[in-house]
Amino acid sequence: MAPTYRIAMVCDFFYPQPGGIESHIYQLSTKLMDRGHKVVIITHAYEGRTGVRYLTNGLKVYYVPFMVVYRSASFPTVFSFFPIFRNIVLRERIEIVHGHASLSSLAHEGILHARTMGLRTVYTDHSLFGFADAGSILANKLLKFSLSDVDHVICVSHTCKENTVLRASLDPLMVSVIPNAVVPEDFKPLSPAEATNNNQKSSSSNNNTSSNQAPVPVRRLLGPHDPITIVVISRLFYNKGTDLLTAAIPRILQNHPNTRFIIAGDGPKSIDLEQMIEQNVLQDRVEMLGSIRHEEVRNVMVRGHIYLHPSLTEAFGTVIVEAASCGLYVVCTRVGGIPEVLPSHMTVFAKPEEDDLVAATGRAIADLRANKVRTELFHEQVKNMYSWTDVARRTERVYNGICGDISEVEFYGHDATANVAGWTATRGRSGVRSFALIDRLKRYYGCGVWAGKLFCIVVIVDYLLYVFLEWWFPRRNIDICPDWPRKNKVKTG
Amino acid sequence: MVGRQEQALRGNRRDIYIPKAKMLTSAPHLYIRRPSPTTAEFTVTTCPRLTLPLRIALLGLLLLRIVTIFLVLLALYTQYGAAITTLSYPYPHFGSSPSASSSPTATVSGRVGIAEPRTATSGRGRKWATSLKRTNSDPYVTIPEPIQLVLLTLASTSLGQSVDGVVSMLPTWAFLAISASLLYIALFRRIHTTESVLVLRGLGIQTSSSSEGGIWGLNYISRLIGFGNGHGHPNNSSMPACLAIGNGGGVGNKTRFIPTAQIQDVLINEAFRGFEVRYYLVVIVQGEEDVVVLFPGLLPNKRIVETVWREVKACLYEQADGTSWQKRGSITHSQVQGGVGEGWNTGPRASFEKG
Repeated sequence: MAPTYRIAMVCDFFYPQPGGIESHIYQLSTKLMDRGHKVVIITHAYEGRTGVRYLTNGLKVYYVPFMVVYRSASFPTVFSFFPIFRNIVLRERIEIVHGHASLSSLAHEGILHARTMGLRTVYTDHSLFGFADAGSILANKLLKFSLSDVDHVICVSHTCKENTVLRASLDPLMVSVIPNAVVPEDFKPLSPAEATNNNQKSSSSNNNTSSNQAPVPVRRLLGPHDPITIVVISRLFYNKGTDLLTAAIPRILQNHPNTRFIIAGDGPKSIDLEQMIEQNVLQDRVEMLGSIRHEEVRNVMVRGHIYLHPSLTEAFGTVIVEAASCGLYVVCTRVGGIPEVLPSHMTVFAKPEEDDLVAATGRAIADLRANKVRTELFHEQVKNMYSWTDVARRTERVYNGICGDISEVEFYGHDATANVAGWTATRGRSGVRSFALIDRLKRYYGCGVWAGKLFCIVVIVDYLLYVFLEWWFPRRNIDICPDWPRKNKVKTG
Repeated sequence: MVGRQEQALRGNRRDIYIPKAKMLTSAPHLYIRRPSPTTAEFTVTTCPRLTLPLRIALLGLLLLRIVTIFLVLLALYTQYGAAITTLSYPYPHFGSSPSASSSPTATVSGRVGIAEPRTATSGRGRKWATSLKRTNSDPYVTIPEPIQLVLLTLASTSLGQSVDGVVSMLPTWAFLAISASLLYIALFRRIHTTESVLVLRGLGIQTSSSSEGGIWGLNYISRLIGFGNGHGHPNNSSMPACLAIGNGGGVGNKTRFIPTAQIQDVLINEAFRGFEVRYYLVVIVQGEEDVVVLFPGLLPNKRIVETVWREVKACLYEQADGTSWQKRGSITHSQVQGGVGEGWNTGPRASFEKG
């Protein structure tokens, strides 16, 4: 029988805040619970949401009261989180601490403290970073620190893996690639009933979603003069390529009559877009919806034929999978992990520049008008490619690997273990696999001439704090939480 | 621990869990009293079982408090006593009359009523001495002369002198701060906290909290010594003194009654408190925005919380078939460990946060 674990997901970003990382953690957690594991989520408190909550299936969320500094990331105080973290870990009897997102200081602190407490740690990276600017250098140094002593790293795409391995000087073998997924039920293409409703401009289209499930997708044929709608759903930030979009929209609309845009999302660049609309008098052809909720994304997507994704950097790009699942033809820039995400018959790639984006959109419109693309089949294909159950299964394998429940040969592959005698990926940079403080220090010492020493001091202070906490708040005084009844319960060893 | 026979003797009281006493207090532990099937009193206290060494220690502590109060008062008097002195001191080197001032043998700091500069005075003394000329004949406060006499005599003893010597070394603010805090601790600090919940079926829940171990409770002192222990419980002389608080009353005893009609539910919740996540019992009261936390000061551990929750439910609501919850399924340890009961709060309703 497969072993099960008690896992704590630590991240600054979680519901009620919407976003990709948030839904990733939620979906992964629920699917892991379906596999019989116990999962708790530790995040910081949001407005009006502090304390301990239970979500569906008994997923327990600790909203730790903390100060928020920037874009809902908590203030990096390194040690202040430790007492409460230790309390939660002990009362929930956590075995594996799984941190998410490189901008989340809570995740990095959680991993550091978990190692001090001798727990297994996993880290998932969701984003790409540069190497050149000052902010990135600092962030990379901190990542290197935090990942000096982690058991395994998960990246959402191969590009992301490459990036993380370089930034944190990791052994590529201790980095796995597990992509994001979508919930296919939430991103169904328009059913025929809905389509007729839409033609009659009925507003209650979403009510029919569940009741009408067309077993055989109907092919929508486009005539040469039928209107084509291009959908853009993204937060309007620089890194999402909004500038590119602003430049490209007038040219696309000029080249292709009978096309229109729907733009959803909000951000600092929305003013530029509005200015562009004013200047070119495109009010009737560009519709701006502002910020929308995640549940509404599907209803916006199914109004269009093409999804345009002009992002400048993207680790995975869940949204293009969602768009493809809704039956949209995807035009996207060839950046980051995006080329890995969808098969070529669903996408048209462009270089991240204005001319090429216009040209690629033109190709996509031509393809659609020629009815060369079977968009109605996309949903089933995406459904088979991406599922959270699969993600959970692969993540579970990582847990098995780091806990020693599957052999190293099986986990890391035969070549890796055969080449160097006594080699293990979890040894990290210094080649020592041990939880002893001195061996942990060796791993941190390699981070840099000055940084290495600084990090060693941090680790030592953390350890002393741990010893102090063991004395001040003894383990025996901490109440043990009863586990939520697990699904297909198995005995833990 | 407690023998079965003794437990039987004590009849309707049950001890759930008494942790080992630390010095004078113990970790919060629970007593349950069931005078009738429809009534139950749950008491959580930090007061350990009164054994002989503990009684002696507590009495010693009481004595220490009295001595502290006395010393602080004496120190205050040696510094500022002149303001309230109308009596002229019988000894020549001490007193308010300027004629008796020039004696070089004055050792009793001579603050009181000395106008001219002296060798053995501190700054505070001089300040008072100058102002004393005016107030001497007409003090702000008059205290009875016999007491004045006692105080003056005490101040002139070697004890008074040494107190004065120590105090003179401190700056004024430090002296005032120390004496104020010492007085506060000796007078008002209590070492034991007791919180109880009385459940009466058909009527409601009464919560009360009190603290004991100060110098104000005569009941407490008499029980420490051993007189009149127990308030009608002749068998349990070893019960903590605090347990009689419901009957005897105490200083700072706060009670609140919640009628059954207003009780929507009793449940267990979790919340952050300081650096911890604690379990606590709450009563949801109709028409109130905030829930009422039971045992808010002590916040006992999960075992106590869970026991009280089960028994409160059993006592408050009779089952449809006439049996109480308790009879249908006795609480076993495995049950406590095993799963999540129906009372575990899963909703956002009770968001109690403290600290």
